[in-house]
Amino acid sequence: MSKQTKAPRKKEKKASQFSEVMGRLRRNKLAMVSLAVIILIILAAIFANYVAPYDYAKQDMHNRFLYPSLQHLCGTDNFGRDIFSRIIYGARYSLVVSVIAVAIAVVGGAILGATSGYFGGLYDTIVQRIIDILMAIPSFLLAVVISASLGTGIMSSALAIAVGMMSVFERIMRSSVLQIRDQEFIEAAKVTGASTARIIFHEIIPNALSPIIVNATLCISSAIIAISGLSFIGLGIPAPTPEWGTLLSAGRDYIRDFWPMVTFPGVAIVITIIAFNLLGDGLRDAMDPRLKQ
Amino acid sequence: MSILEIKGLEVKYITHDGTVNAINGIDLEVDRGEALGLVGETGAGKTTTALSILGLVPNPPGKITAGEIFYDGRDLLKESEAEMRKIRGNDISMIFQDPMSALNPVLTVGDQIAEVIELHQKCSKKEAMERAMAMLEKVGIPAERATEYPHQFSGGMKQRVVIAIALACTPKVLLADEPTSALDVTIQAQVLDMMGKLQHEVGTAMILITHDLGVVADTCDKVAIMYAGEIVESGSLVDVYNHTAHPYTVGLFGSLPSLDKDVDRLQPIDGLMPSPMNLPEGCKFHPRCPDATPECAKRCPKVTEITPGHKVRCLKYEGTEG
Repeated sequence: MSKQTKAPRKKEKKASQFSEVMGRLRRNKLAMVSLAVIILIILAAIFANYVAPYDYAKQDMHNRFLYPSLQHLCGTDNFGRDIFSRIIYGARYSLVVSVIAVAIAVVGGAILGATSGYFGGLYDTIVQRIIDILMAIPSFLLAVVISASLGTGIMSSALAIAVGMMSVFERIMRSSVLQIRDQEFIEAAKVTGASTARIIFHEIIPNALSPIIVNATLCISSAIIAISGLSFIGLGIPAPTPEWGTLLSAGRDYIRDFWPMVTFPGVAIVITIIAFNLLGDGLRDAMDPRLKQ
Repeated sequence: MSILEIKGLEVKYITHDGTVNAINGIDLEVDRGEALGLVGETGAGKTTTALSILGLVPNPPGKITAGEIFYDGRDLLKESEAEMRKIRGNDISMIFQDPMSALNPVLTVGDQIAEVIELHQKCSKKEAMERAMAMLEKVGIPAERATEYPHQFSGGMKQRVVIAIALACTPKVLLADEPTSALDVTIQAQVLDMMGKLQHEVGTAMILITHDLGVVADTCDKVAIMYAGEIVESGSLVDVYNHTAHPYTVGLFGSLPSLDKDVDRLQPIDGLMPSPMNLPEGCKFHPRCPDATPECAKRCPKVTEITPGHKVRCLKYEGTEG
C-alpha cells in the first residue's frame, strides 16, 4: 500500500525485550562471569549430595581442626566435619532464604506500590506513611525484632528480612507508576474498555519492571548478608543446619587459633555477594535504554 | 437517525485557582456513517468533548454539570462504569493525537490489537490474534509484523496501528482526536485516505477533531466550529465553507493561506482566546469580533438556524431564521 510497508526489513528475527537485554548483557564480561559463578553456586546447592565430598553432619573426632588439604579442601571444624561440604550444603539455605525473602518483598512491594501510585489519594497517603515508619526503623533491627517474635526457621527468617526490604520495592514501583500512569497509552487502554486491574497488571507493571529486576538482584546479596547476620546472632536458622552465617558464628570462638572455620564461609558469602552485585550492575546497564547502542 | 447526539453539554474543571468552563452547552448530532469535523483553536474544548462522550473526563477536577449524551438512544452520562467499559472500544472508540505515546512500549502491536478484540468479542486468544493480524493487513501493515514492538515502527505506521486498535471491534462511533497532527504532510494524506476508506467500509460515524480546515474539507460531511467551549457555527461543508456566517469562522478562513489568491499578509483574528476561567459576558467572541455591537457584550446569543441544517450562534443572525 505504501512504500514503507514494502521496505526490506533488516531484522528477520523478532527481537523480544528479553533477548535484547541478554544481548547487551553478553557484552559485559564481568556480569557474564558473575552469572557463571551464580549458576555454579546454584547448581552446587541443588546437587549438594553429589558435589559435597562428605556428609555435612558427620562428625569425626579424630580429625578435628585439620588445615586445608586434598582430603579436606577447606579443612575440618571443631567436630571434625568437612568445612567445604558444610559450605556447599549451606548455599542451599542461604540462597533459598534470600530468594524467598526477595520474592516476598518484590511481590508485596510491587502490588502495594502499583496500587498506591495508581489510585493516589487517601489510600496512597496511608500506605506511604506506613512505609515511612518501616523505613525509619533500621532494616536489620526490624528483621531481628520480627525474627525474635516469629521464631527461627526458613520461612520466618525470610519474612523477617522481606518486611524491611519491601519498602524499597514499594517506593521504586510507586515512582515508576506515577510516571507511567499519566502517559497516553494508559488513557488509550481506558478508551478500549480495559478494567482498572487489567490496566495496572497488564499495561503498567510490565513497563515498571526493569528497575525492580535490577534491584531484586542487588537485594539478594543484602538478603544473604541479612540471613547470615540473623543466623550469626542465633535468630536465623538454628545451629546444626550449615547456614553460612551459622558457620561463621560457630567459627567465631576459634578465630584466633584456627582460621579456616571463619575464613571459608566468609569467602563463600563474599564471592556470592560480589557476583550478585556485579550481575545487578550489569543488568542495570543492559536495561537502561539510554545506554542502547 | 442519529447515532450520537449531544444536548446542552456543560463541563467544568474545578481547581484551586478557580473554575475552568471548558464546555458551555454544546449540541451536536452525528448520523450513522457520517463524518463530522470539530474545528477549533487549542483550548476550545474539543478534546474534552470527546472525553465526555467516553465518560473519561478526569474527575476530579473535571465535572459534567449539565447535558445529555445519547448513543443509540442510551444516555451515556447515566450508564454505570461497567456498562461504559463495555461501550468503550466496542461501540465508541478513539484515536489519539500522538501515536508515539499512544502505544504501550513493552507489548507487541499484535497483542495490543488482540487485547481489544479479546475484551469485547467472545473469542479465544488465538482467534483474537488472527483477527488482529487481519486488521493489521487492513491498515496496510504486513501481518507478520504483529510480533514486533512499537519502537520498531515509524510514526505513520504507529498511527496505522492505533487506527487498527480503534477499528478492531467495528465501533459505531470513532472519535479521532487530531489523528494526523503528529505526522508529516505526506503521511498525513495517506493516513487520512486510509481512515476515510475504512470508515466507509465499516460504516462508522466519525468525529474528527482538528484545527486544520483543509483536513475537514477532505474527509468530513459536516463541520462544527468551536470557540471557548461553544459551537459557534455548524452545518454541511457547503454551508460553512461557502456560506460562512459567523464572524469567527470568517476570521478562521481569513487566516488561512490560499493557493489561488494573492495576498501580501494573512488576516489573523485580533486578540487571544479568552481564558476559560474568566470568560467575557455576553457573546464569548465579542471582544475580538470586528462586527461587535454594544448589544453583544450584554446578551449571550442563541443558536439560530439560518438555513436548514446551518446553525449559527451570533446576534447578527438572530431573528433571521431561514
